[in-house]
Amino acid sequence: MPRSRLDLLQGTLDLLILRTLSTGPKHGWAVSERIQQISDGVLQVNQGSLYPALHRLEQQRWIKAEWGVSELGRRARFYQLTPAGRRQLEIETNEWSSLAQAIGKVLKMA
Amino acid sequence: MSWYRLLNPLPLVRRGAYREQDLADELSAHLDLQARKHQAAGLDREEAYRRARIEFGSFEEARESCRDVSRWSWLDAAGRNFRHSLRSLARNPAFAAVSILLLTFGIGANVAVFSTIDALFLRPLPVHDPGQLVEIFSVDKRGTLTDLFSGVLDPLSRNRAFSGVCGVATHYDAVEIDKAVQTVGTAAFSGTCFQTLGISMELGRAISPADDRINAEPVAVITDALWRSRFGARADILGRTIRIGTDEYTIIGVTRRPFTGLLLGFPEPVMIPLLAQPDFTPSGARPTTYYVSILARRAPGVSEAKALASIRAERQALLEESVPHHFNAARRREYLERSLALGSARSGLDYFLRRRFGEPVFAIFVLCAAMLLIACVNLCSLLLARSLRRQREIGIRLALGAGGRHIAIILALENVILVLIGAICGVVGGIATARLILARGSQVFGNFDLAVGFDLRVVLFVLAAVGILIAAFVITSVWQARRLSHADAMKQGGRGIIASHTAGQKILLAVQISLTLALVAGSALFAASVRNMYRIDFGIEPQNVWIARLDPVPGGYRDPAYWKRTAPPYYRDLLNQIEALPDIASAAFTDATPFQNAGWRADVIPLEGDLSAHSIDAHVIGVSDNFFRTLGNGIMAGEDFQRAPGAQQEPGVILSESLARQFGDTRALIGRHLRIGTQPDLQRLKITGVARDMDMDLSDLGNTHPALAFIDFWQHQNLEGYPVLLIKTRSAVLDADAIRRVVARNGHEFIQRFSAVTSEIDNALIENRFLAWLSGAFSLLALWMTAVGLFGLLSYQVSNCTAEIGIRLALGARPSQIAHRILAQITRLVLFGMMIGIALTFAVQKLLTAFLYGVTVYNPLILIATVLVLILVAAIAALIPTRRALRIDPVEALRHE
Repeated sequence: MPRSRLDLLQGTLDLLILRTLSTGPKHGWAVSERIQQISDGVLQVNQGSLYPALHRLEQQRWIKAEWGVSELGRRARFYQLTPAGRRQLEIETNEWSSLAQAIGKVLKMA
Repeated sequence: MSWYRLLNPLPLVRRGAYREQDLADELSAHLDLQARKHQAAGLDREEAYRRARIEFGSFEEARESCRDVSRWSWLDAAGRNFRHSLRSLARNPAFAAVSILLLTFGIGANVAVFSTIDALFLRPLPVHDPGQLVEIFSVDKRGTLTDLFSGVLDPLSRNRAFSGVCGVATHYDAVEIDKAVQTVGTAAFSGTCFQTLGISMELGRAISPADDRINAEPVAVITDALWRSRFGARADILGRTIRIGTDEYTIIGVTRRPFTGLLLGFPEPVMIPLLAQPDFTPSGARPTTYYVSILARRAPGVSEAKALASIRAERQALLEESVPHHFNAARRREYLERSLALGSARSGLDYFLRRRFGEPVFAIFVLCAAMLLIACVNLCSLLLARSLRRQREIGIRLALGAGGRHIAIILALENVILVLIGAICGVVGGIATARLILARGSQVFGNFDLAVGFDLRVVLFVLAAVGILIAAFVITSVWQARRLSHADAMKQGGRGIIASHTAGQKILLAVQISLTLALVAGSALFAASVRNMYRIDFGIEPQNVWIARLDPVPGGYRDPAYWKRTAPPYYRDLLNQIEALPDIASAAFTDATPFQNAGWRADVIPLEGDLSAHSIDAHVIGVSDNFFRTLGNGIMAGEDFQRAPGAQQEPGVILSESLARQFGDTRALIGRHLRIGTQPDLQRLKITGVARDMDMDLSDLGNTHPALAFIDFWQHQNLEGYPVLLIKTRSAVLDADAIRRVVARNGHEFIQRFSAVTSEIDNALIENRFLAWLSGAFSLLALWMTAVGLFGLLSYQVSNCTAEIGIRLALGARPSQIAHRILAQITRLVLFGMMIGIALTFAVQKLLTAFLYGVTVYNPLILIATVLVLILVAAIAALIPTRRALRIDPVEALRHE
């Protein structure tokens, strides 16, 4: 159970998904588990918005999906990053870092 | 992914189905994995799944959002929504059927009337650039529009304001084609017509100025329609001949479709040169100048106002150059005093259709538009009522995660489907109805042929009407969906309070009641005025009186000189022969068809006594002896005309009572003299009799005692137009064939059709009767719709308030109190709607007055009756729901959910 829940900023979920998928193909549940694990349970992905986000990214051709078999032996959809997605990840990572840096500066100075 | 793509030959079409399944699989796989995680942490299977589902949130919402993302989502959604709407409509077939029926009626009536308006007023002539064409005519001092003489064509063609002029005279002639005689419209064109109008030729050549000369070889051009129907579109048509009168005309050309002539509703499939037309008028020397309709093409850049100014500037010269040489001084003066006028001829020339039916058609159009408006308002309020009943269904959808937008789309789509089905039925039915009515009208009014059908304007009108309807329904649906998605819909069933959530429906109902009241009042007024019209004392006895026009067989009059000699004895013989037939009480000739035309107008001026300078405008009608007896009218003073030749020393005249009164004592008038108009043979007439007043012209119902001067048919036979035979039979049946045989035996003329004077009266009042009938039918429909609307509102409220009523009854409320509560609001609604409706009725009265006779909008009896009818309908509509409310069993009601 998370110690405190943070709502994800608009657009950051896309970035997190792209980053998570950069280590290899995963299905939706694995993506959400991975985000939760790495953030020590701070970031909890609302499942209701995860799948629309995955479909949206697929629509933009940053990730692509293929059917595979899950750990439970069931049909599951595996998502993986496309070259365009890799570029997008780079762009969004840079944007995020500069934003975080800027916010950090303001918080320190003010 | 790739394997099913290969197997699926129609990826796009079936993709939707696959995606739905895939999405479900994907999401449930997620659920499984999450549940396994919880199971691993020690929860039992059921608890693990429960928690996984809670964590996941709304399954439906996730699916919905994923669908929205999909590229084809709109297509999928449209298909799904469409199927859903159809299912929803099918669940309530009565509602769907009633709505479609209403829309079919509403749209159909409007399409029928608009397509008639289009055919009458909007459709341009199929010639080159018809917008530049104008018609030029003269206006006499009475304000009557009259044609000019063809002599005006030459000076007009020199006018720089026009790039071309055309003179046309149209007739109905018996034409012999391949030995078969047929009466068809013929147009006599001046030589420059084809060039001026820009009529395209399918075959051969057009009539040229060289053909339009006295003694030129007679030639004719026929229309494509006649070429196909009578000549089987034969290629060797050029050079064949047709016979009109005594002359053979060589066909030199065929015009291209869709040109059928210049006269609205009366095609002229045969065109001949103006100066080569057969001379039927038994009037002596062949004329070289004719009354013609004049069409002119404005030169580029010349406006209608400029063109009018230029002909007005030349008025004197134009008239002087065109006045016929044989005119006497008085006729010449009258002609030269005319003024000139000009109007657009974009949609061709009008014989009488626009004049006769223009106003009624527009009145009917207003009626139909009002009807469509009521139907639309009614459907909107029914939809509101229906959606209130669907609150629970919609509440469930909202709870499952459907957006307000989605609800609005589903609701709107149902309505759009209804409108579209209604529109298709309405358009098909409307065009068919218009054709049927016009075909009937054509039988009644002498074979006019008005083509009604689709063209750009009709299609645009349909699109606009359907667009407005759809917009109204979509707005209603959106409003409704917004309200419902905010309402706590799940908690409503049976526990509402009277009059909640129905404000919109009430406003619509009030509007509907007001429109219905106006319509019912209008139809009552129309009905009362038609009844008044039939009560008019026409001064004649129309029963068993028949009318037949005598048309010449081709060459039946031979040459004018022969006919002038032959006609008087021939007509005397003919009348004697007809009167000798069994069952014929009397017969007479006249030159004006009763209730179709009222004779021609001229000044009547006494020649003796104090009144000699006094001129009175009267209708002049040529009649034979027995005319008054045949029509059941009587001579008050003096005597009838005499049939026997030479019985009268000088030409006589019989005056109607009201004309005679204006000259003084009727008895003293007998034997005095007067003159009529400018015609040479009417300059000295002896007054031989005074007849009782009679009215045979219903175009002016305000004047049922017109001033009439009857001239002697036997003395003045060189009248224009063919004689009309009036026959009074002893029984109610006419042996038409016996009379036809008698006429045919004499070899000069034939009778196309007989009509009864009573049916001529019916025909003269046809637009009034039709308006009364149509508004009556529409009123019933509107009353029914109002009743359904009120019924729907009350039923909803009662079913919505079952619990409240039950509690009230349990607490000891009297049933009358409950009924009072329900009825009070409907009374307020009806009274409010009625006040607006009465105001509306007064507002449209200006529109109605043209069709009302002997009754006005401010008739208290009709208004009170209308209000009572509406209250009665409202009471009937309230009856069932109120009874249902009163029968509520308190125990049952409290158990009600």
